[in-house]
Amino acid sequence: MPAQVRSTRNPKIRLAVYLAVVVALALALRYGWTRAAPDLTIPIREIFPRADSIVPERGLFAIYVDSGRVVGWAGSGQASGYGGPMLIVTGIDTLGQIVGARVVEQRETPIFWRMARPNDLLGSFSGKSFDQIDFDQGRVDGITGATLSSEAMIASVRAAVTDVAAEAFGTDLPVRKRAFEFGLLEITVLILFAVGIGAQGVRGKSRQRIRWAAQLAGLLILGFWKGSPITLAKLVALMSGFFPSVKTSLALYLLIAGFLVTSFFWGRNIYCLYACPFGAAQRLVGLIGGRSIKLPQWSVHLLERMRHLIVFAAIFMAFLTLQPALASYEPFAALFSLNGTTLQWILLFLVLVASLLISTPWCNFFCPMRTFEIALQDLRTATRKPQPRQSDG
Amino acid sequence: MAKDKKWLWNLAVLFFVLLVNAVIVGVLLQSFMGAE
Repeated sequence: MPAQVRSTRNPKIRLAVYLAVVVALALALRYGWTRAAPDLTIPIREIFPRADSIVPERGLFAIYVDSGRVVGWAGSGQASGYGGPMLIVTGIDTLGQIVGARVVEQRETPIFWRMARPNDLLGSFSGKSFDQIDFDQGRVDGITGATLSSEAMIASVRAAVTDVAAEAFGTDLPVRKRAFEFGLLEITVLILFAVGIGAQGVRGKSRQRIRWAAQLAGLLILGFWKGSPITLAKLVALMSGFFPSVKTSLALYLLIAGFLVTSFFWGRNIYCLYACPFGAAQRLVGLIGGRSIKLPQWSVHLLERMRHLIVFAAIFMAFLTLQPALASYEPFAALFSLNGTTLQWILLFLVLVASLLISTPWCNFFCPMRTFEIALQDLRTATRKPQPRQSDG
Repeated sequence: MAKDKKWLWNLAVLFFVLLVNAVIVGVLLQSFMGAE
C-alpha cells in the first residue's frame, strides 16, 4: 500500500505538522522566558551569612549588619557559556577583598559543568583584592566546552567585580578587550566547506578521495583536537536567543552558516558530508566491517519518525526549561573528549558497532542534524517555484 | 537470506532500533531529570 507509506508526504498534512511543531515550540520557549527571575538575595546570604539586610543600591546590593554598618557589596555578572548565559553573584567586603562567588544560573551540561570545576575556580578568587586578581589564571584549556564554561565564569565574576569597584570604591578597572579568535579551527572550517563545494564539480573516485581527505581533517581538527562539531545544544541555544560572542565562537557560526546556506540555497548538505567529524569516524569504522547490510524499508520509516519525535521532544524540553545544553543526546563528547555518562558511552558503543555493518548509522537514523536538513529541504521546496505536475491521476 | 529466516532478521532489526532509541531517550531523561 504505497499510499499508506507515503501518507505524510501529503503536503497539507506535512504543513499541519510543521505548524503544530512551530506553535508548540514557540509556546514552550515563551514559557521558558517568562519564568520568574532568580532571587539574588539567596546566594548573597550564602556569601554573607551574617548579613541582616541586603539593600539594592546603584545596581549593586549593599550588605548591612544590625548596627547599620555596611560590611560589603554584592554584584552580579553574566556571560555566555556553552549552553547559554551564566549568572554569577560575587561578594566583596569593605576592604575590597572577594568574600565569595555563587553561580545563580547556568546552562551547561552536567558533564561539562563537572569538567569546568566551578567550585575550585570560584573558590580561587576568595580572599583576593579586586585590584590584584589575575582573571586569566583560572582558564581551563584543552576541552572546548569546559574552556567556555570556565571563561564564562571568569567573565561573570569580572563583570561583577568591575561594577562593585566602580560604584562602591570609585575605581575603574581596566576593561578587557577580546580579540577575534581566528585560527586553525576557523581556517579549517572555511577550507572544508570550500573543498566540499568544489568537490561537487568532480566526479567518481576523485570526489571520493577529496571527501576522505576533508573528513579526515574534520575528524582530527573539528573532532579530536577542538571537539567542536555542531550539536543540537548549540542549535537550540541559538534558537533560544542565546548568541555566543562572534569573537570567541566564530567557528560555530561558520559551521552553522555553511550548513544552512549549502542545504537551503543549494540543496546539498556540505557540513554532514565533508566536515562532520562523527560522520568521518563512522565511515572509518565502516571500512573495517564492510558495512554491507541494508535495513528493511519499514525500519527506515520507523527510525525516521522516531528521530523527528525525539528531536522535537528534546527541543521542546530545552525551551521549557530554557536549558539548551540538555537537548544534546549525541555521543560526540564521549568520543572526542572521552567524557560521557554511562548511557552516552553505551550509545557510542552501539553506534560504532552498528557502523561496522551499516553505512553511517548515526547520520542515517539518529542524528538530529538530519531533521533540520529535512525541514530545510521542505522549506526550500515550499519557497521555490512549483514544478508542473506530471499528472493529477 | 532465506525467506524463513526473514522474521528473525526483522526481529533483530526491531530490537536494534528500539534499543538505540531507548538509550537516546535515556540520555535525554537523565540530563533533564538532573536539571531541575
